[in-house]
This record gives sequence, C-alpha cells and structure tokens, in this order.
Amino acid sequence: MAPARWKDVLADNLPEGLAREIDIFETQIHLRKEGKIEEKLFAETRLRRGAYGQRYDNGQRHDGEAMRDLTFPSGSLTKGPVTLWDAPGMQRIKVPFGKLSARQLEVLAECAEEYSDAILHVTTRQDIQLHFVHIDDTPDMMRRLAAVGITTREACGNSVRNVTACPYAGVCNDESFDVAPYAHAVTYFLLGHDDTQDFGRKFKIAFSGCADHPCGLTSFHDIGCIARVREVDGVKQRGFELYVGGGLGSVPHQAKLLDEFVSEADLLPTMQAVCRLFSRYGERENRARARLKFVIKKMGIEEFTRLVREERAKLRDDPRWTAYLGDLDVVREVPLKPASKLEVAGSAAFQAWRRSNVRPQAQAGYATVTVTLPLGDMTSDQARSLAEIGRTYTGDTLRLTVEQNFAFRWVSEADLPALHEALVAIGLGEPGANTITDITACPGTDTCKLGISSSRGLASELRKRLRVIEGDLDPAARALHIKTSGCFNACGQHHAADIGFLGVSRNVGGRRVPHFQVVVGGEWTRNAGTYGLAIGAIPSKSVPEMVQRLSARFVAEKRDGETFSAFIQRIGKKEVRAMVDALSPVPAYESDRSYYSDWGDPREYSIGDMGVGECAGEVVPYVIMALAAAEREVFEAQVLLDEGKAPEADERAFRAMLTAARALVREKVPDVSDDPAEVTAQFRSTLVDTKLFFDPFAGAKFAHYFFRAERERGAAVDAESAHQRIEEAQLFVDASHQCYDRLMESAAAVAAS
Amino acid sequence: MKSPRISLKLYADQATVPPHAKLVEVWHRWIKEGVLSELLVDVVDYGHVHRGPAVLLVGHESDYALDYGDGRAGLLYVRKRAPDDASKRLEDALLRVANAAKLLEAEPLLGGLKLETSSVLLRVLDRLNAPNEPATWEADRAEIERVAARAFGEGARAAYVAGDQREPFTVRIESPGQRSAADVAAALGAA
Ligand code: SF4
Repeated sequence: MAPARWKDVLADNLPEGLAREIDIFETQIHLRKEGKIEEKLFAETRLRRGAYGQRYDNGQRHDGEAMRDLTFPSGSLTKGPVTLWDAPGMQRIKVPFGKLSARQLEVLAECAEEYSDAILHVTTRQDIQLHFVHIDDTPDMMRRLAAVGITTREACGNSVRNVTACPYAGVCNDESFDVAPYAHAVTYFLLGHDDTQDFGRKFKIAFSGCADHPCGLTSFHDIGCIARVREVDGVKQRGFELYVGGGLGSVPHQAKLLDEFVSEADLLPTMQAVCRLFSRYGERENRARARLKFVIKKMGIEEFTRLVREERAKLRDDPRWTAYLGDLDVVREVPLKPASKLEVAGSAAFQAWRRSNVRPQAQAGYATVTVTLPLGDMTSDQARSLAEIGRTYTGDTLRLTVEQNFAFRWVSEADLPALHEALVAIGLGEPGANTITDITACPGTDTCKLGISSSRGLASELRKRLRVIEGDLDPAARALHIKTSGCFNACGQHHAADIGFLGVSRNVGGRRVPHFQVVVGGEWTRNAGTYGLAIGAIPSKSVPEMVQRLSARFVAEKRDGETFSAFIQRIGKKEVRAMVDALSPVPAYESDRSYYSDWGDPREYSIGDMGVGECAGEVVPYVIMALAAAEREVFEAQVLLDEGKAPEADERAFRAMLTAARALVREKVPDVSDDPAEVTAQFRSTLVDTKLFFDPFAGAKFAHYFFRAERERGAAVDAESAHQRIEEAQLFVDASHQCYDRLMESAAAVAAS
Repeated sequence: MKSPRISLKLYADQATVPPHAKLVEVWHRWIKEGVLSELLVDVVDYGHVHRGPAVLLVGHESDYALDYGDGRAGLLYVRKRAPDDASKRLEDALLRVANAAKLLEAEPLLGGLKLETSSVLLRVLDRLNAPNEPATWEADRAEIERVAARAFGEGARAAYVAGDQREPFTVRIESPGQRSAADVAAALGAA
C-alpha cells in the first residue's frame, strides 16, 4: 500500500493560496529533477521558500588531511549552482515577530523530529532553523506548517525577511504602544507583494516600542520603526519614527532617520515606497553592494527621503493601507490566569533565575519569563514540553527573542515558582538570560557554507567556562554581552555586543590556524547605538582567556556607572590592542597542536597535509610581515579616528590596504614600486582579473574596497565614512591572508606535480 | 513497515559512556576512513542541549547519535532514507545500529563503551504513516516480533508503549538473552 501523503490529508486544512504555492514548489522540484528548470532559477525559487544551502553541499569536505568527495546517490543533479541535490540543507521558517502558539510550536517540533535532527534553532531574527533537511521533504514540511498558519515563503532569497519586533511588545513598561499588530500588518502586506519581488538583495524590517532599549534593534535594519505618540490639538496620534538603510554584514551601517513621524495610516504606503525605490535603485550585479544601505550611501539620505515622498505621492490607493487599523486586536493575547502576587521568596535557585529571567509586565500581577536556550537550541522534546507549559500557565503567548531565547508572556506572578520547576524538569530552568553566559552565536562552521571559524564551538566553550564561575562574577561582568560570528557577514551581530568575535583564519608556519577578531566598543543598549570595531585577531583557543582578561580589567578599573563601551573608549584601543597582542602568539605546531583545530572539531584546521614548499619559502616571511604591518595600520587608523582625526584615519586605512595589496602583488611582480597607482593597476591585473584575489562567496567584493579607496583619496571624509573605510580595510587585509593561503596552495601543487 | 523513518535506541551501560569529545573524534575518523558502508556527512556537537542528541553523526541514509533523549544515554539510530522493500526496513535499521554499536564498543579511544541490547526503544518518526495508536501496533506487530526474534532470540518480547498522540509511535523490545551488539549484527547477517 502506498504511504499516505500530507498533501491529501491536509487538503482541506490549508489556506488556498498557501496550498497552491507549495504545490507549485513541488512541481518545480520535479521539473528540476527532470532537468527542465535551470539550476539558478531553481535556487532562487528554493531560497524564496526558505530552503537554504548548507556546508558541504558542493559534495566536498575537508577531513583535516585532504578534501574528499561526498558521493551522494543523486550524482550530479543540483538544486543550485554547486549545490548537490541530496546534500542536506537548512530550512528557515519565518515566525513574524517571534509569536507562536502552543500548537505551532508542537508542529515545529514534529517537523524537526521527522525531517531534521530533532533540534530547533532560534535565530537572531526570530526565525526557526532546521538543519540537515532533504529538499525532497520540504513540500510536506511546508504543508504541515501552513496548516497551523506558518509560511516559509520569503524566509531567504532576495525578499523581505522575517519582520522582527521586541519580544516584550504589548507587555513592556517602557513602550509607547504595542508594535506587534503593526509588525503583523507589515508582514502580510509585503509578503508576496508585487513591489517586493524584484529586489537585488534581502530586506530586513524591525519594530521597537521605544528608542532607548535594545530589544527591537532597529538601527541595523533596512527599515527600523520606533513607536511614537504625538499630540495634535489635544488628540493623541500613533505613528513611527522611521529609519532606513541600517545593516550589519561586512560593513555595518547605522540606519538613518527618514521621517520623525510616520502616522500609522501612512506606515504601509511609506514602506511600499521604500521597497519600490530599493527595487529601482538597488544594485543588481554586485551583490556585495546591493543592500539598501548602499543605495542611501550613494544618493544621500536627503535625496532618498525626497524620492520616498515623491514615490509615496504617486502610489495608487490601496484599502489594505488602513484596513488593518480596524483590527489591531488581531494578535492580542488573552491571559490564561488572573493576575496575582508572588508571596513567597522561593529557593536560592529560583531567586537567581527570577533576577535574570523574569521581567514584570506593564500589567500588574503578570510577568514575562525568558527561557535561556543554550546557543539558541532546543530539542523537539523540549519544544513539546514548552508548548505544554504554555498551555498550563499562559496560553498561546509564546515568543522567540532576537537573543535566540524563548519567552512566556502573561505569567501570573504566583505561578512563577511552579513554572520555574517545570522548566528545571526539562533542563531549561537556568538563570542568566541576557547576561555574559547567554552568548549569541551564528551557525558558523557547524553548518554555514561561509563560516571561517567555529562560532558555535567557541560560544559553547565560553558558556561552559563562564557558567562555572558565574556565581562569583561581579555584576558588571555578568551584565556583559558576548556575540560571535563565524565570518564577516556578522549573523551573530558581533558589532552590537560589548565583546564580539568574528571568525578569520591566519597562516602560521604554513598551516592555517582558526582565529577570531576581537571586536570591542559596540553597544547592545540604545538600539545598538554604536558598533564595535575589530582590534586584532587572536587564535580561537585564546579567546576564553581574552574574555577573562577583558572582563576582569573592566571590573577592576571601571568608574561608577561606566558602560563597557565607555570604558573601552576611555582606556583607548591601544590598551586593548596590547591585550590582543599578548594573546596573539600561536605555539609551534610541534609543541601544541590544539591551536591548529577549532573548538569542538578535532579535524586539523590548517592545511596540515601541505608542507612549506621551497618555492614559497623565500616569499613567506615577507608576505607575513607585510600583512602584519597592514593590520597594524588598520589599528592605527582606529586610533586616529578615536582622536577625532577622520581624514587621517581614512588615509591610514587606505595605506593598510595598499601595504597588503603590494605584498601580494610582489609575489607576481617582484619589482613593483610603492606608487599607489601602480600597485592598484598591478593588483587588478595579476590578482583580481586572474581571480586569485577572489572570495568563493563574496567574489571580488574586498578588492573593490581597495579600488574605491584609491579612487576616493582626497575626497571629503567624516567620522562615519572613515569608520566604514576602517572596516573595509580590515576585511581587505583578512581577504589578503586568504589570498596568500591560496597562492601557497597553488605553489605547493605546482611543486608536487 | 510502512514508513522508512525508523529510529532505534540501544542503551549504554551508564558507567561506560565516554566523554563527548572522544566520540566526536571517533566519528570524524569514521567519516574519513569510510568505516560504515553508507555515506556519512558530518559530526555535530550538541552537548549543550539537555537530554538530546549530544553528539550527532549525520549521514545521507541515517543519523547516529549519542542520545540522552529519555534520560538515559544510548546509541540512537535514525533511518532517513530506506530500502523500498517495506518488509526489509526494520531489519535493515536494526542491522545498522547493531553494527555501529559493535564498532563503537571496539573503539579503543572510547575506553570500553558498552551498549546493551536487552531493552531497545523503537520509534517511527512519521506521524502520518505511523500514528501513535493501537492500530499502528496491530499493523506492524507481526513484523516487529519476527525481526525481534531473529535479532535478539526467541525470548524477545515487543510491547507497544501507548502515549500521547503527539508523540511518535513507540515500541519497546525486551530480551532476556543478553546478546551482544556483535551477536545481534551476526544474527541479522552482518558481513
Ligand atoms: S556570520 Fe558568516 S558563518 Fe555566521 S551564519 Fe553568517 S554567513 Fe555564516
């Protein structure tokens, strides 16, 4: 008997539109298998349904000694360029502003168990990600999710991604008003909207109920909306302070103010106008410069604002712009239990948990409980239990948070001890939400194709160590935020942490060693009001010691009320750089091999099977020295910027790129001069045009940083543009290290042949 | 069995469970050396989750995990893509987990890990084709009992573990004979 199919079973339960979309996707899967759809087109189709690639999906895996083929049964059939059909993939599932019902959570748990590895991963954008999913299983999974009102549509690809919002929206003491109904309206207005189908890149939107507290993180979104109430003729009006063009990624940008007050009635059309402009002016060819931030940078915020107003005025009326205002209760939560007061102090463990994980709501007698999910992960069993706990204590008032945690809202305060006990029983009763142990990490080398270092391995190790000493930590140290990203794409939001880490690799004695750039000076507070800058790279294995030293020094030397970023500003980056330098040495491979593997992964990270070829022997010391000099110049540029010397900082950052570029060019053209024009021309012809200086995923993006810096020398510079130049210089130098590795590899290959 | 998504768990003698890092190392080596006759892709360390797959060996056809799912450590096997012949699915899954258990027990780095076969947890991760209800048990019972007798000896007993419909269909197979994993693999025809 043929197995039953979800398609048939759920036929009557699915919203018609969603059912049709998924049927079409399934048909496209069949067509691709028959070779009737071109792979690039299928890839974009798949991404728009949230089905993403995963590490090793090109069928190759380095086992520490050599690159080996993974021979999948589907052979050469692909689901996108260099992406094999059978290779496990990641399914991203949008959860608008993180709001879930108990039943939805259960279905997510079932999908994780049946199609993935029984782990649900919460992302920094309030999505759920399931890993190791086969593309053939995705249509059924999508149907099961659709049956409980969840769509994966536009979870990836060049589209409007999950709309995020404060997890405390509607229950927060500080907010102007509940932003959730607006986030909901924007989600469904823009989902599949004609004006959002032709983007050159992804587009992210976030809502915050207030300007001061960080949970909305509007400053690094393409559109950030902060709730405002104004009074006109004695009448209170709701609206939003609207920011545009923010973003993290390789070069972070703070969003710029588009309008101090966009009324609630004008919110959707204004967003629509921004989307249309992004479609029209966004870069198509060069993905690295395709986000809205680059459009705004190019034309300036004043001109962009003018164009938005002009575009807005031209839009044809759409009843949906205001229809939702009559239904703002659409996401209203009804508490299961009456309000109550907690009369007992409870155990010491309960009190510790209450201090960090419980937040009183604006509604007296209720609290919001944050459940700390280690590394954002929960098992299917835990997810089912959380759903059940929700049913017992709060009803459908569950949220995912941007700090990769989970929240129960509307907990009647007297229920807190029992709820804590229920969490302890499933291993989720730990304290420490939003503290130094609650580390944010992107997937990194665990599953991400672009990962350079193991951000999760590092986070796991830090967490393990910090939990041991947590009780003894000074409150100032305990309050620090740590965030780790596996590469420059910054999915771990390391710029917005007190202490951030960004994965890079370095060549030491002919072997690769996993490293992390130490990023300090950023803020999680004030809606991530300041981004941190990389100070220097240290080996992955030295990071725990760096955290220990930085936090201890902060505790010992901080002034009353001083934040970590203010402390860093006061002591100066030179001091931090000295701390970095002290931890940057890597022991020789022969004396300590542990540095040559990454956290949680015993495979040798370096090109361990490659000897130091004679052909490279002479050149290696020069290149290494020159790249180190370039790094130092990047750092000097930071110091100049801190001293308020933006033009000098800009020039020094350019010089750093020039130094690195010349070091590489010298490999090919030994007598190259140090004239910038000549270095640039030679760099282009010998390294960029030949694709030697070429990132497998970012392409020539980093080279263009150098070319642009050279072109723009002498132009007006302000603090913000100098800051960006420094970021770009750091990335360029990191890319130069990668290029050097490749030069060595090819030299060794030639020598071996 | 109607569904290919069969999961089996052999419990470990708790005193012999190795440090997770050791198993991570062993499984990376298995991938490198092609120790199993199936495509293995990667190893994931989920040691930070409570009662979950602490270390996961991801394959194309199957996943293997050191799992703490029901509060006890054990080797969890999950079949993802299985032979078309429904009558071979359970036997094939059992053979693979027994074979993997045998190999793990022989790994010097794991310092004497012991995996028991006296109680095996069988779950079918397919709520559509194997709902957690007596009818599924009735449909699969003969097959489960036949394979259990072959693998663990005539004294083996299988019993449906009734539970919440939201949970996967679950059966516990008990056997008094104390066959080793190697015996089970041999009984099922391991090379
Ligand atoms: S930051 Fe890099 S490694 Fe981390 S998830 Fe993003 S792209 Fe992947």
